[in-house]
Amino acid sequence: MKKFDKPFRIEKRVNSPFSDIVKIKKESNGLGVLKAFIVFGIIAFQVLMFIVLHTTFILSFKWTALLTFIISLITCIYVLSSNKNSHSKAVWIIFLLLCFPFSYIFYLLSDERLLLAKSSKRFKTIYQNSERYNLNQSAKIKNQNVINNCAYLYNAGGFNAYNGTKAEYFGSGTSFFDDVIKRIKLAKEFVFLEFFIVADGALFTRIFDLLSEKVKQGVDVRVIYDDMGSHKVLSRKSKLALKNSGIKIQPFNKITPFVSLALNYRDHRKIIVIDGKTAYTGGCNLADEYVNEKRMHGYWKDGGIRLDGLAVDGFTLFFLRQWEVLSKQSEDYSAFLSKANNYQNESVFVPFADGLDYKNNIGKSVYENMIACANQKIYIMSPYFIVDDTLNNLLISKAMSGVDVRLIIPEIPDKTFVYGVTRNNAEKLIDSGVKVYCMKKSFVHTKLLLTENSAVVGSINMDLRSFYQQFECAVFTDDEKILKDANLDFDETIKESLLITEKNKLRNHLIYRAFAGVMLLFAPFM
Amino acid sequence: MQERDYQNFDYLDIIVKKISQTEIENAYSSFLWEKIYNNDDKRYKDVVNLGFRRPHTIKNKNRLQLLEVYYQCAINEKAQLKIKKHSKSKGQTTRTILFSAIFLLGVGVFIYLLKTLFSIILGSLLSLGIICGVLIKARKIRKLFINENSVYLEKSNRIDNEISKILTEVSLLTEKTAYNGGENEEV
Repeated sequence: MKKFDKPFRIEKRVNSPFSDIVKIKKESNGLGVLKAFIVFGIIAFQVLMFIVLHTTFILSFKWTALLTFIISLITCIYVLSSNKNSHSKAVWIIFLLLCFPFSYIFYLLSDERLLLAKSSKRFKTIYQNSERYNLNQSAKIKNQNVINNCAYLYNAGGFNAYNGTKAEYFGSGTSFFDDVIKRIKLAKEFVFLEFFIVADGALFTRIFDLLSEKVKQGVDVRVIYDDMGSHKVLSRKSKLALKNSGIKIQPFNKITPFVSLALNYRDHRKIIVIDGKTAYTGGCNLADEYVNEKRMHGYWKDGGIRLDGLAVDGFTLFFLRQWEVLSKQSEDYSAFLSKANNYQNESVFVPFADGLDYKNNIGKSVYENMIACANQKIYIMSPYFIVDDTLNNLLISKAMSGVDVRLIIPEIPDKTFVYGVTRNNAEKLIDSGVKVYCMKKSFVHTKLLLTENSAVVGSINMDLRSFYQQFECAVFTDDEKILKDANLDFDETIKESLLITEKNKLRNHLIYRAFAGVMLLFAPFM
Repeated sequence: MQERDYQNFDYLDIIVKKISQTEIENAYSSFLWEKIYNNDDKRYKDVVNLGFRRPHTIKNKNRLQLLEVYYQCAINEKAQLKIKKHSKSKGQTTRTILFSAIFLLGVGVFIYLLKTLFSIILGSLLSLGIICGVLIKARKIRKLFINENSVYLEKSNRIDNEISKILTEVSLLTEKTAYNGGENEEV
């Protein structure tokens, strides 16, 4: 049947509602957003139904109100005895007492010792089974502070300190991924990728085309992605394309439409391992905004590090353990280890990780140890600054002792509420002599901690989520080249940043302070 | 739309106000972007959709990406500045007219309802007062208007200087790249 033309069709075009001269076109993944909306809608409905039913029950049997209050009090004592940070404990106790009819149930559903006991056990079993591959390296270390940090990392998580490694620092996502692509082209045996976000787009197409070629050449390609981080941006079509091309993929902690606070535990690691000879980590995920080919929050400032040499085995082990947990298949790791050359370099590199497989909050402790040992300078680049009292007080006392403490945070936020708390916390340090900078028109995503004799580059934000709830990874090093390049990157970034002073603090506005104060209640979950 | 060659090129899709299209096209070409399409927007008549591409590997790419963001922000800031140029004086004028009209109406109602000599004299005095007030306010608004013009000029010049510096730096950073069928030079 022919369509009839409409010769007198009136165009209903109007003037644009926005005033910007130039706007970057943003593609939206409508299906992904819809899926997220449906899943979280179902979860919210379940929570609401539970609260309504439980409260109705208590109102019907009034004696249960007293019973639930007593249970909430007991739960408060349980919270105080837990390993949570003091801020989280305070927030949970407020919640338990204010919402006592049902709050204790939510707490118990979120407690790691109860909720994640089975997963924790699985992680620890795999960790213990893989210990035989983690041969103790007797690295030569010159600096006493570095020796102490290496000793901590070994005792806390069995992380070896390696010599025989050379490294390259990248001050942008663009240069990072360009280097990754060059190295993937040379891959012959295996390529492992682990990201929080894997998103459709130009970068994904570049890397996927390359990886599918490599699979045809017999290379073992494996990808781990976090389901929460990727669900809106990685389409079903892309996942199928990955599987059909022979790339093995595993989602981490799949989102399900059932109430579970375990959904809060995410894999935030960024690991790339190529043939056991090269490893990458840093802040960059596999998405276009990280290479500034998609504009979301101004200029996206990011960073990373490449390791070539013995230290690569550290990252290979982290990936393989995670893969074994997700795939539920054991394998012999020795086929993937001890592949790298031994470069004549006396610098120390300690790849380390954090997550359910480790008892201590390793990322936080490493940061604290480095800051405590610093005597000349402490340079921090982080997208967020939501820390507990220990780290806060350490920075204050270091600044007041004459150490040059500088913090670079973004000017443009990715999450308004989180940025409000970040900015508030950072500005509180100004009085103590800490220099706080906001990189102009940019979102700073680099996670860098730099002192006069060591640096940490990785995926660990300066926030409570990274310290307590997420799987993270990074590398600790005293390599002079890395220190020099990281310093240069920091100095270049400061040139493009605005120094926050008493005059231009957002905390000068009462409404902002009130807003930030309220947001602090949710800080442990940010 | 043609299939995109992500291995060799980066792509950029933007929406631009028609009135500034030429300026934007010239600016983006200095960032080494090559225009690949130019379409009218389906919904809005005062904007146009532009598509660009440039070789994936270019010299000083990080710095160019940062300068591009600065350029875009500066251009948009200038547009915002133009829209808000006389916002304060316009607001004050509107409020003055509105409140004086309400007061005058109130005085008129007062006189009409009472209809006494006292109310007429009082009403006239109040009206005179309101009119004098409006005249004084009008003078202040005029001064504000002139001040806004000078502030706008100062800020606009600052932004123009900023844009000029950005484009100067861009031209120093970029080399003239000939587009020869998509072949890419490693720099």
